[in-house]
Amino acid sequence: MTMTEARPTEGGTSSTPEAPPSPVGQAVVDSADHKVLGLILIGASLLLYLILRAAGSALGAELLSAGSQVVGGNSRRFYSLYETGIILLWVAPVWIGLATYLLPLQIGASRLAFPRVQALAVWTHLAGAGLFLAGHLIDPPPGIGLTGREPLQAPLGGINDGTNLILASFLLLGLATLLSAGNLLTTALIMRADGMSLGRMPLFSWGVVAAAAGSLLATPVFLACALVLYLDLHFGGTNLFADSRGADLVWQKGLWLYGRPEALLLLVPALGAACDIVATAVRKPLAAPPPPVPQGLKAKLPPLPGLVTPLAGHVLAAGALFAAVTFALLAWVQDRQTIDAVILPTATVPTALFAVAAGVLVLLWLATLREGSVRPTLALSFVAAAIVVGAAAALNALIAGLTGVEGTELGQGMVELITIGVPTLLAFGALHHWAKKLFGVGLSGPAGGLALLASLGGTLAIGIGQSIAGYGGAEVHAKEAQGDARVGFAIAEVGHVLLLLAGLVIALDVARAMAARRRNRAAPADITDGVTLEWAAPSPPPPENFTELPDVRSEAPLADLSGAESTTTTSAGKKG
Amino acid sequence: MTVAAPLALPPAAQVLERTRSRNAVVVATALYGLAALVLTAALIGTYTAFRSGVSPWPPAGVRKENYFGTLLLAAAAMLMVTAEWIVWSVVHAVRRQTAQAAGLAAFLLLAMLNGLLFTVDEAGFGAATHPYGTIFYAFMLVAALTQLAGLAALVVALARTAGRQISPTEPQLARALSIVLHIAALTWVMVWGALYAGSR
Repeated sequence: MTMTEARPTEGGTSSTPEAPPSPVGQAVVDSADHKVLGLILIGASLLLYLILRAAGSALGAELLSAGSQVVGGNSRRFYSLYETGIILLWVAPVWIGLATYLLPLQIGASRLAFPRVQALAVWTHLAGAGLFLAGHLIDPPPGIGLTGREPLQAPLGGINDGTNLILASFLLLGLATLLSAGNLLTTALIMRADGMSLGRMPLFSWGVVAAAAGSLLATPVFLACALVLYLDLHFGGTNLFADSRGADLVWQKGLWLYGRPEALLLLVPALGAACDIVATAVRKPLAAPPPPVPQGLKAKLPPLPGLVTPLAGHVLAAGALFAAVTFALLAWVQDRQTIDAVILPTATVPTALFAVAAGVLVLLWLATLREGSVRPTLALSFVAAAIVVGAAAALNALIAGLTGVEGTELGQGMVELITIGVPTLLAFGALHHWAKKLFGVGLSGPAGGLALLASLGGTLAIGIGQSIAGYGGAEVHAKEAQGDARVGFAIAEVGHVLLLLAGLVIALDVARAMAARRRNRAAPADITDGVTLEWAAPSPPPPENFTELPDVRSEAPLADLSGAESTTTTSAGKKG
Repeated sequence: MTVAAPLALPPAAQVLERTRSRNAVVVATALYGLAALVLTAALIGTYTAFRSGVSPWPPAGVRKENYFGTLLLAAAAMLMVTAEWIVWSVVHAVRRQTAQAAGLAAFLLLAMLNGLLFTVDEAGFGAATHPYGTIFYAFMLVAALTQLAGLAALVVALARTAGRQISPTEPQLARALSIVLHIAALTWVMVWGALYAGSR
């Protein structure tokens, strides 16, 4: 086992590291440690998930029977709270939190490039989340579009405190995303350990880099439009209401940004995490499958070792992640709702190409699992669940295309499957996968199994239920439903409740693990846990992250180490 | 008799870490600067969207004062040259010229801010009067923020120079300062292009 710093004693470390400082109170508020900041964001996003999912459940209950008054006259408020919030306050922060915690560990750095900037980003994100919730809670209801993405008719709502707060929250959340994206990208470019070339970076880190690069291009547009809207509405204008020409373009291109590409961008680190989960399950990097060559031709061709090496799979996966970001940006540039305003390829093609990039990754995962000896884990089951949900969405899109159904609740069903369901499942899977590094202890297996079943069932129920409602003719954001549509909404409501249950189970388990993190001493690293550098750190990592850092000679440095160790052991045994 | 131990040279790892931190500042400044330019470009896109839908454009009562806009453009061009002058003088260890260039940069930034305030003062319409007003004030706000960022970076760079953290062998922070100044200048160039050169 070769180390660049200290030679380890038996067990993988030279000494038992001290337990990390208590992540509570003053230590939490003052901390610029990327691990504490990551945990703050992960914990807060889980709490926000429960609030938002409860709002979604209440909204779904409204549609179960005619004349239902669960949310009464507040359906606009609940739609805006749930649909905008679930992306801004759950999917975005949980992945930023995981990236904040894991990126330095994966690249062998002791810290982020700018720890204080990340602290600013995290607290700004939380302040933005607070303003967003406050804006929806205070009376009168906010005079902003249903999900913050459509211009209103001028007489509706108008400017009030709620609208002001929501617009201010958009500015804060955008700023926080921008700060995080720049910091994470700089960290990946500059702070990598010796030997950790860009090509050797783990695929979750690649996903973070790709998404951060996309965010740096997309988020300023969102910020610009939010700024214009704030200036207009705050000073009493109506220039950006629906009856003002040009306003529609601003809304669709600017403020719809967080529906697309931001939602698609947030899928990219999730896909990267799934790559790492698969690689860990087989304890080797992703491998590209050999090309299908006919048997007769194969004998005549020279061997093609390059196509089956792990490096080829790793590079192909990283390329697919970057391609996904590119297509996400292209899909946003040409939104189908403004097809008459800008002459560009339609949104459908880049969205389909995004799906192709994701499909390439899925094929790589399957090929790698087929070739290797699989160590089944709960995290891997979450990846399988995400693949099922993605396949259901693809099938649904195919049916919708063949039947020509458009502009109904079906679209919301697709959003639930792809932009909320897949990243949520993979976030739960990532929490299980990296639990030892995040909390020092693993998450509960039975609780995780329950969460897996509930989240998979819930996601499918919402997606399929809303699609049934859409095929039944229910309009987007319907206030009442009849016939088939009502059956669809009933199925979707079951899904909301199941997802609420899954979130509750995960949140309680994470809370238990965080409490254990404070109590327990750090356990030494076990390099058989994984193949990437974060597994060389104690669990949980000390403030400086690593007590010793292995040499990085490939994209799976710990697999190299354990391979070398086993070779040494075997030869020593033979000698003996 | 006690013999004082000789001062040890900083370990190579510390030097490497410091160089990394300095390089990180340059990279991050470039990335955030790029984001600022994208933001300005998005405002130009918004401006174009409004212009295509509102007639007449600019709305009645808006008097465009090209004189100050173009004067600020000249200041922006000078600021970009000055930014490069700062880096050149740091790399060549000409401290007197570094001080002169920094002083000139501060003067130009203050002049640009003053020009912006004057332009806003003379506008004669509010942010919500019409779409032109909304986008005009958004442009002014973003331009002012980039110029204030330039001034803040200048103050930080002076403090770092006093602390001997900028030197011919470690000019990264001077390069980061120059990027901030370039962004401030380029932002105004883009705003000028949209507000004064691009619409009649």
